Amino acid sequence: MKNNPDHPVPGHDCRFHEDAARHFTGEIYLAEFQAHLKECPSCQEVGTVVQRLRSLPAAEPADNLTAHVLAAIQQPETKLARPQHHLWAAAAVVVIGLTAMSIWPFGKKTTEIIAQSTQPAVVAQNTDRSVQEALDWFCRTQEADGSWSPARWGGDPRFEVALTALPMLAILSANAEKTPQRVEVITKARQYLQSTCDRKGRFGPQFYGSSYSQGIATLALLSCYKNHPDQESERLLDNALTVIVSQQHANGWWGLGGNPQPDVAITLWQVEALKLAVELGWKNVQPHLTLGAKWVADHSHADSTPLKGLKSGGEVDYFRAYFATTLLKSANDESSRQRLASIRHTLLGKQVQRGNDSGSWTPDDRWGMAGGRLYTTALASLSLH
Amino acid sequence: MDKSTLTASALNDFLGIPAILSSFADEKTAVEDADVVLMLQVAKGDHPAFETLVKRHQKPLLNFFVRMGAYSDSEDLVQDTFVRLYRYRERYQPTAKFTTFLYVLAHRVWADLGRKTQRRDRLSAGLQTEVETNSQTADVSSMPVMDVEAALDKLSDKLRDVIVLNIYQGLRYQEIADVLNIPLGTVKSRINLAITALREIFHEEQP
Repeated sequence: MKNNPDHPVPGHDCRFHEDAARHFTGEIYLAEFQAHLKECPSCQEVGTVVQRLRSLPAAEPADNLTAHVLAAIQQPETKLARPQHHLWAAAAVVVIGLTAMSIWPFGKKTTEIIAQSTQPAVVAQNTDRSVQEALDWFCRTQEADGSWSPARWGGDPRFEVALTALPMLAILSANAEKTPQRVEVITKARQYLQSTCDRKGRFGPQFYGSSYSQGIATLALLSCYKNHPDQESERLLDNALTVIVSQQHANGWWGLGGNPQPDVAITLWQVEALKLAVELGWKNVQPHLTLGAKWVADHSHADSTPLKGLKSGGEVDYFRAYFATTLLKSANDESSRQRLASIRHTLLGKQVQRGNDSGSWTPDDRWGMAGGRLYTTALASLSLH
Repeated sequence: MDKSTLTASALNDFLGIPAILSSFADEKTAVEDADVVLMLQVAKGDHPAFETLVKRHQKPLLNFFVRMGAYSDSEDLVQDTFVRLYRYRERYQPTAKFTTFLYVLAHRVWADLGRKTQRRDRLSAGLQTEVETNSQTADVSSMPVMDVEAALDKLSDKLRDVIVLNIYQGLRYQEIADVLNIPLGTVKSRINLAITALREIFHEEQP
């Protein structure tokens, strides 16, 4: 706090300096201080500050607060009664959840895969090992500057930001940022992503697909911020979220740069980022999340134009697998558990087991040309844990 | 913020509270404190006694969280504090003034939630209020209130803690030291630093 020569710091030459505030709050009383006060501008200033602070009116509790508290103590320890204004957040999750569930247009081949019923317990035993191998692959392949290079792994170099953010998400989502090596990997990746963000909050080179980078990089840095909040990240995320919000179409969707058409994949990444941002306290983006989630919900039937782009001609579409498993994980019914286990079983079977690429997934779906091995490995890993 | 994950950490936090209470051992046991008597009755299963405690302390607790920077979640935080108090009832020992213990819980609830989130929420709400005020009729009477709230928002967390507990909650320096688990001298120095900082802030805002 800078010093103002016109208003010297109170008490620099005052023997009551340390206890002046206590006099004004009534904690102590010295008759000598009352006499001193008339002559000491610094102590008078302290009194003015205390008086001004006390000018705030007191808030009144709602009439039903006592009832809420008494109801809450009756709840089991893992379930606290939540006041009503949390319902929106829950509703948002449900909307997004239902949306992505209905978005999952199980293709013929995929339906057959799902029909291969696999015991969930057996699959669960294998997924942890599989995820750890994937994360080890990411640790081995990170570049010295903290990025992951699409050019080395069959992807489009212009997506370097997004393809650095995806491995970060895979590590953070697996709650695997525990070993010193992985802490270092995440730290370097985070610094790299921050270095690619300009003053306006835009990530990486600006081209038709930079909306992918914006959504995925923002989501990855929000995930870092969730674990390690700091002011620098907060400012950067403020700007990054402003970019996302500014690029949203009035109808709620996001699209490729220069193409005034909605894109479901891009929209889902932005919605995921906004959802996490709201959870972390960026309440000002909540209307944009609502609008985006509503648009997805309104366009989630399999025959709608945007969803045609999501239909897969290959055996596994890693993008669809990621969004489907994200939702199936939160479902409690047996059918969902079986679907989840089947998808995971399929993914486990496709993981490379030997050689330099062991732990990764071969980029053989329709998005592999753009995302390469980094994309398939990150989304498969995210789908498994 | 979705606080569904708060419960587990909140329960874990209870494990640390007896250690904190042991630091109160040099305080006079406040058996004559009516709240302590009520709390001991709660420990024996007296529900109406707990309701009395809630009614007596809900407003001061609400204002504690509001002054700390909570906005929309302030009543949730009050609720969480009372739930923690209730779940601790059987282990409660009257080794300190009841309000000191209550603010230990409240401060932990606040710390668990994450102050930055709350502050951001509050600042956004403040800005919204400011826009509405400017765009409609200027409410001169509300301006000093906004000034004080904005000034509190500019304090660091440590300075805000002591100012809120002292000025608004009326805790004495030693009680603040117990709640925050810091030396008495640190409380003194933080309050003086906070007063100095607030004085500067108020002067800077003068036209």
